[in-house]
Amino acid sequence: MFRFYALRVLKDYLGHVIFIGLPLVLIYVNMEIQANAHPDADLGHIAFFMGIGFILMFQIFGAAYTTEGMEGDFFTSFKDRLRASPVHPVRFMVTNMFYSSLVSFLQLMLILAFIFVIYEPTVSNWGLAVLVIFLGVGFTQTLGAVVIILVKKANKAQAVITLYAIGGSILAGHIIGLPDNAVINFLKDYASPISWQRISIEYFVDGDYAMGMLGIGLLLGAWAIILMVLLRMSRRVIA
Amino acid sequence: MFARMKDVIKRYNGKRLALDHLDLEIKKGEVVGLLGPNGAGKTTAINAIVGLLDVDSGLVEVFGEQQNGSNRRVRSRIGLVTQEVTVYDTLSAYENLLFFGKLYGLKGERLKRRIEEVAVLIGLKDRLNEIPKKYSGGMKRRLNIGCALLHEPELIIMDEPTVGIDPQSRNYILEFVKQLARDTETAIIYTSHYIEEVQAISDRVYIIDEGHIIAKGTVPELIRKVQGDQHVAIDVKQPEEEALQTLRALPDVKEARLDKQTFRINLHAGADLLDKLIATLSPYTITNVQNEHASLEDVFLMLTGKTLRDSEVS
Repeated sequence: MFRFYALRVLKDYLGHVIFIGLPLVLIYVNMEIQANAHPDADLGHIAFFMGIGFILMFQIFGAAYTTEGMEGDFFTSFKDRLRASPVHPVRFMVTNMFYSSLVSFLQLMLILAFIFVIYEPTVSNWGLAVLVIFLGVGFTQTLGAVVIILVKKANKAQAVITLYAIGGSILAGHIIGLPDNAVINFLKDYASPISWQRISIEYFVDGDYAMGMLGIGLLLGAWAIILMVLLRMSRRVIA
Repeated sequence: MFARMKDVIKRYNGKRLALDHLDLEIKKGEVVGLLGPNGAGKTTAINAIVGLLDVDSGLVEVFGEQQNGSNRRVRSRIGLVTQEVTVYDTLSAYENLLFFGKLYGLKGERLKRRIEEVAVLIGLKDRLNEIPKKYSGGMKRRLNIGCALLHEPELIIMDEPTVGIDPQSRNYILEFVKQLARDTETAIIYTSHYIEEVQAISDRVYIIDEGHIIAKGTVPELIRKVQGDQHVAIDVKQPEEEALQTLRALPDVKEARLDKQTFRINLHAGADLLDKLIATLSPYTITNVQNEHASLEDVFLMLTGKTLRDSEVS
């Protein structure tokens, strides 16, 4: 059963092209522009934080693995076949989320590896950045599961998730420059889990562990809440 | 008794009556046909037996245990062939069989052996490594059935397993179901819109309409309800009286007489004897065969006032 869920996600070749290839192209093109515009800048540093921005955005798009997997398992005729087996339906959901998270995380790590190999950034505590991304992936896939149970269609769920990804990325200052004032700065740092991950990584890289942990704490708190919501909903809808 | 439903009532959303005091029984090794139009309650009845839904009242018992939405123990002894093809298109047939086998706790050598056996049974042994996307509709249906057989269930529920496939594949599946019941003593509940399928494979038939059973029995028993004797007339060249003795000795033959060049034979209603009659008269040159008998379609028409095809359209 576990092997099957891994296979199903791994065999989504188009997904790999989109979730790995697209951010790599975007990072490369943006870095070419940066290199021409600011030849004396610390390109490694720029590449690292630009990469983190793309990673946090594509991490959310990666929730498609959970939404599509759960749509197939619980919102099509497969539901009866799976529910007719001796395996509890929640186990299908958890297994699906686990492998979706794993594959999404590995994809994001490939993007990070590309940045380190090509642009050689010298940043400290990048291992903690990896931890933040790992937790973020778990949160995002859980959110994807909640959304698909609510809307029951993967394309609708993906629309909701995309809205969140783009909105959250804009608020976190990843897509466009935001005005520099107290309100906007507060929103930029605390408006969504994307922001919490960003500030957490920034603080860890700067060596401010306490503030870095604040971002992780917020993320874990939000994750715990949506996990409880998910368990409650899954008992009612899919079990 | 493998499965039993007694006085079962099920309402959807507290309103629409899907099962209305339904009674149903299935014993070891028998094929029970569940015949009824769309919305008659066939799938609801099946879901209650599998444990996919709770009924509002009445008894649902499977393998001696009360069945409900949370009893998972008996599910490992049931195989469900869903109405729609539920195999994963992105995985090979082998991987699909592997997955469904593991769901039912099979592993190691036993799982491998069962996959090989089932692949032979469903006629896909040489195409196991292909993905179902490349299969014809009939092959997908066979794989769909195969996925429900891996764990050697004692009770198999087939919910319209031949919908949308060509006649050749349909015959393959029907023969396969008959063979399965004969060779393994598996109990099978078979639902279908196609009366001729149910007639061909069922030991007993339940006709269900508007949530309750309106008739039950073997096919001949049901046909006897709507018809008296069955009449067969076989024209031959140069007939001889002595053939009558052989014809009269056949079971279910009530009367046989020779009328010029025509053997006129009266059979018990529902008897399926045409092959034997023709074989008996094979020494002669047969020029014409007329068989007048009621079918399950006539039974359905008489009991419900509509044909199954009519009710499908409406």
